[in-house]
Amino acid sequence: MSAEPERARPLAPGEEPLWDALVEEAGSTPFFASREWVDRIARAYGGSVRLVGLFRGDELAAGVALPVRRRAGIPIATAPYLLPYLPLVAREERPEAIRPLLRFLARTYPLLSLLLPPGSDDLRAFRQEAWETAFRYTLRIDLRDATAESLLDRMEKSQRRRARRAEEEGAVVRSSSNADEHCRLVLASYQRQGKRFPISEEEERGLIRWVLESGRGRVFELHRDGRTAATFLIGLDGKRAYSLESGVDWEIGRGGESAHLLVRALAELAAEGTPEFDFLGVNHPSISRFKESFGGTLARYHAAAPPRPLWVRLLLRLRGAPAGLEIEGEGAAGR
Amino acid sequence: MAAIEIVRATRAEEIEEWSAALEAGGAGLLFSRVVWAETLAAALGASWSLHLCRIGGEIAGGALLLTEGASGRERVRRSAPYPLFSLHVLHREGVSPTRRIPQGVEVLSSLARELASVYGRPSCDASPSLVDLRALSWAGWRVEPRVGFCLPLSREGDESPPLVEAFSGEPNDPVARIALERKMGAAYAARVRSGPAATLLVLRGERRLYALVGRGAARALPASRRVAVARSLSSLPEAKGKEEILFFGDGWEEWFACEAIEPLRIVPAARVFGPGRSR
Repeated sequence: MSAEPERARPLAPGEEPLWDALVEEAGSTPFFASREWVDRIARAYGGSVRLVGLFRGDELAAGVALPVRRRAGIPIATAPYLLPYLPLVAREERPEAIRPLLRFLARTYPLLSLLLPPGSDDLRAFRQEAWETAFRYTLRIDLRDATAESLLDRMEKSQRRRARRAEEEGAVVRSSSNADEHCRLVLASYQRQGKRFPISEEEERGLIRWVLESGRGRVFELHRDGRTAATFLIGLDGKRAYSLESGVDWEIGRGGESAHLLVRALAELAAEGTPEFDFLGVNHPSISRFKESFGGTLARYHAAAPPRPLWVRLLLRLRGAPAGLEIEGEGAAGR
Repeated sequence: MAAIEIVRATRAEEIEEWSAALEAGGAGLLFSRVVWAETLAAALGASWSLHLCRIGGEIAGGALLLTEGASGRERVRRSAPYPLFSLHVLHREGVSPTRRIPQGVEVLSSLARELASVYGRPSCDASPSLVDLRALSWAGWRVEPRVGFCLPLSREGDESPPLVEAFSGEPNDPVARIALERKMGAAYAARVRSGPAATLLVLRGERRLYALVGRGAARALPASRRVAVARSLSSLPEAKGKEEILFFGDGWEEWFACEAIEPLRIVPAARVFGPGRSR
């Protein structure tokens, strides 16, 4: 154990490379820990990224990239849309080591929640600091040696039948760089379900363009009769591919499009060497059945939030906001 | 799929069937077995009950609970600080991998409905082998992550001297007393130069040992000593030929606190609270 004093504080301007190095060395989901990604998402909500670190001398031992925005003067640092993981990245696994960071976060951000990716099972430090924790779930598919046929073989029977039928009826899958078409279908899907899309259409369009241009993700489209019937945005880092968002045109769709689209997209990613695919959540009963039909492996992860001061709990109650760990419609609970 | 049926086990054959199903499903820990529930019930003045979930006659899950109160007004009695793994979903052979997850959700939903209807607002611990607890959250239950610990044992055994000594008196703790009377294991004392001793109960299973400690026992020893004591259980004579020692129960969470525990490993577990019950 080092004798250097530990100190939690925000990273100063110019210290960003320390964070990048920490994520590269110790981040289990580098995609969602990258400061550019968190900043981009935070900006869609009128906020920005705040890097908070635990320093041992000059060394950044642990930290978190928070999407911080303000509402009525209160800093909010919960995981919004497209941040299904909000990880705490640490070089060392000794739970005692992160306690000063947890205390700093609890003091500074009265409304904060983290989403710790699969593999972070040792939550003793969180419990010692009286943080509330809860399980979340996702499905991961092993893509090593996967082909379209092997993915279909693993699939639940009726879903497989629908996916094959879509293909037989002439549905074609291809990579796309058309951010506008993707946005149109995603927004239409939300509208059809009677749900409000969490960010503005303009922000969404800008975000998707940036994802595609920066090489952080790819859009796969399914075409039927010359029109786009379904679309998937898949995020990529060196470790796996992530199901970020999808949309379906229900006027064109006859069933099986999403399954066929995903099988073809995953087969292409597997052929390029992507080892794993993460559905980023099977936490909502209405959408988990579709994802489970692919026959992946269930992985458990955690949501964690510090004890909320009384005034925060009262404020949430006054606004009719649920007192759960995450704000409704954001984070992982709805995915 | 055949309909899910939940029955309350009352016959010896059903209890045997439960033990066999646990063993076959890889969930055969002592704390999931009726013999352990009987021990807890005898020590705590409670009863126990076993609800079996069947699909097509085969056991697909179950709930083993400590209970109290007259028939029709029964409540679940918590076993804490001692573990009792109440909720189980057992995956049957012949169920396709893609059916396994949804079927597990259905089984757990059915058990949750049954328990809520019989006991009102039950709370209990889920078996560590039951990873998918989404059905409970979706039904309005509160699911609280907990942890247990596992110390893998080497085949050769550990020759270093244990930091505990055989406890010769009669333990104050009723669970330890009954377990010793039933010859389920042995009691050991971790001593410090001054002050009280922490008493540990070590129970023998077929393949593993189970260590138990009372709530508050951690206060008797400094943190680094506590970890060393737990590790040193590997050199007890009872550890010879066993695969691992398991440490479950609230007392162990206090015992290990935030200490580095290599070579122990964390075993995620969960405590669940029926709808409307916070703790």
